[in-house]
Amino acid sequence: MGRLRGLVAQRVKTRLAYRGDVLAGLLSAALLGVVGPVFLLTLFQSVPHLHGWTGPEVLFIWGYADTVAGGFYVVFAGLYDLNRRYILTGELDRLLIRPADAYVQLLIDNLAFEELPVVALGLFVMGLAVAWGLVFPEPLRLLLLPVWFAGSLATLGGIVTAVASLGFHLHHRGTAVGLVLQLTTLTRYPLDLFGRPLQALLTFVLPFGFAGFYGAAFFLPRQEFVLVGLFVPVVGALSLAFGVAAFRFGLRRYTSAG
Amino acid sequence: MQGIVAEGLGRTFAVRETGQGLAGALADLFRPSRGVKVALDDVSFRIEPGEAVALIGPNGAGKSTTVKLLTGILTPSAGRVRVNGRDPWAERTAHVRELGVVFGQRTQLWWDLAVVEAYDLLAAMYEVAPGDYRARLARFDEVLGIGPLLRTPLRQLSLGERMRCELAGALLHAPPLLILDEPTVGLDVAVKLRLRAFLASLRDEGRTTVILTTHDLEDVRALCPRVLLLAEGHLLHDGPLEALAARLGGRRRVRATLRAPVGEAELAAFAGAEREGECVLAVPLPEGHAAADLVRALVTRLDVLDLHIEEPAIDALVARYYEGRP
Repeated sequence: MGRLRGLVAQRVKTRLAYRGDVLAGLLSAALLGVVGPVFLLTLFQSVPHLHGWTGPEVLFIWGYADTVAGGFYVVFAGLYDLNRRYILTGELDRLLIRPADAYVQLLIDNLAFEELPVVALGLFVMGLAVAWGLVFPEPLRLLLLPVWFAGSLATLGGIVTAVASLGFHLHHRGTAVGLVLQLTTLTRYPLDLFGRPLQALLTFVLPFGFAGFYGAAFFLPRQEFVLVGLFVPVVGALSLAFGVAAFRFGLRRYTSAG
Repeated sequence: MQGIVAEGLGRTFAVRETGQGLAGALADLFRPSRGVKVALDDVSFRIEPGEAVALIGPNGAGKSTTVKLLTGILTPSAGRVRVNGRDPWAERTAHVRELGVVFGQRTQLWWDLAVVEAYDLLAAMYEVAPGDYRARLARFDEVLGIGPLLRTPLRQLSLGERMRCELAGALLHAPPLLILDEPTVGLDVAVKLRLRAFLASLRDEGRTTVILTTHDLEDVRALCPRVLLLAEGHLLHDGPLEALAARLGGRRRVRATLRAPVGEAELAAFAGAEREGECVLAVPLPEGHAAADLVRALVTRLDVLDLHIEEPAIDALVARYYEGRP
């Protein structure tokens, strides 16, 4: 890991050189991030409950999912570019001739610190939920929050890594990464608001539910979801392992260019 | 097992054939037509440590594919390759630790970083001891003149400056194997000479195996006693450049300027003789004969004013050979 520390430090430095990007990222994060909570706050002015969920609970789920999404934008930004910038152009060659794991290099090469405000905003929204009167059944459980964040982040990163790795086989310009990520917006809400098939999809097929709703639900009163939420670290580890395996498998099929 | 061993190496690629026009593009959307392209077919060779070997061949011959198999970027479809006993792909990290690579078409450094920052990163990545690092930088500055370029971001360097920096970067960890894919493409003569001189000194030290692909036979002449000629994925020649020229029909010729034109009857004594002017003859040296014998025969039978022995024009031969392939 010591060998990679230099890479990370350099990435920070190069990103800071593009100060405009950082400011733009901050602004857009603030704008996008504020719209959702404001919508929720207004909604719960007129209805006391949503399918049994209180306003502060829904806001907490939103904040949790936002924090995880922010972490994803920072750490896994390289996945957006994997197909177009690395696989099709053969740019991956450059990473492959270095004595470090290609996947880790891909992530480091694209770390997007300008997205950190999204994480901050997510945490802020969670705080807002508490200020709004959210009561945790087991406050001590909150100590596990970092572990659950990591699990949710690994879930999201793992699934998207697997999807992005399809680029090794398909040789298409486009990529399904953006499309799949659209699904994560659903996991900012309690999943029982949606129909059964969608719930099943987000729990068992593309387990994005663990990157948002289930992770947050682990800290909330509804027992049936606390039980599912218990699996967040496991699902995270499995997803990431699956994603990395898919990447490795894809590398075997990598054809470079030229 | 030291050195490089390739046995029956093969690589195929799936290629998508795109239909013509809008209708073709639409058809492809539903039924993409795929074909298989053989980039490398049953290629075997052995390279001993410290050798300098050139890979030559027309575009699409399989040179880059070979390089990418040797560097561990690609997996072979058939056969196997071992570098110092390692499978380059399966043991990639350990393999590339002892490997330096320069791609002429593409940078291995970082566009946004000053050269010296890129070197610092590489030194950390390859765990080069600080003392070695400083000593090597000093040496590269001496022979490649990179000192004044170190503080400049890579994207602001000219191609020639960049290639000098790339080469130094590839050698910072003193790899026992250096692979160069078209390192001199697009460079001016002065930079080419400088790179060649540096690579030649590296070769003479004997600690570095050098493999380079090139379209410039001057690179080969200056650096590589051994040539592998690839065409359409097949290895067609493995040996010195001169031997290749001989195989392609290149012979030394004696060119004679005569005092007066000669008739057909006198010419008949010299097989393959060609008239190159009113009084000029070019006679190929028959295989297995000494040049002196031919010269003696010419001088005794004809009234010769001047004599000149020509070496075969390898470049022209190789070029003709490339074009002759379907």
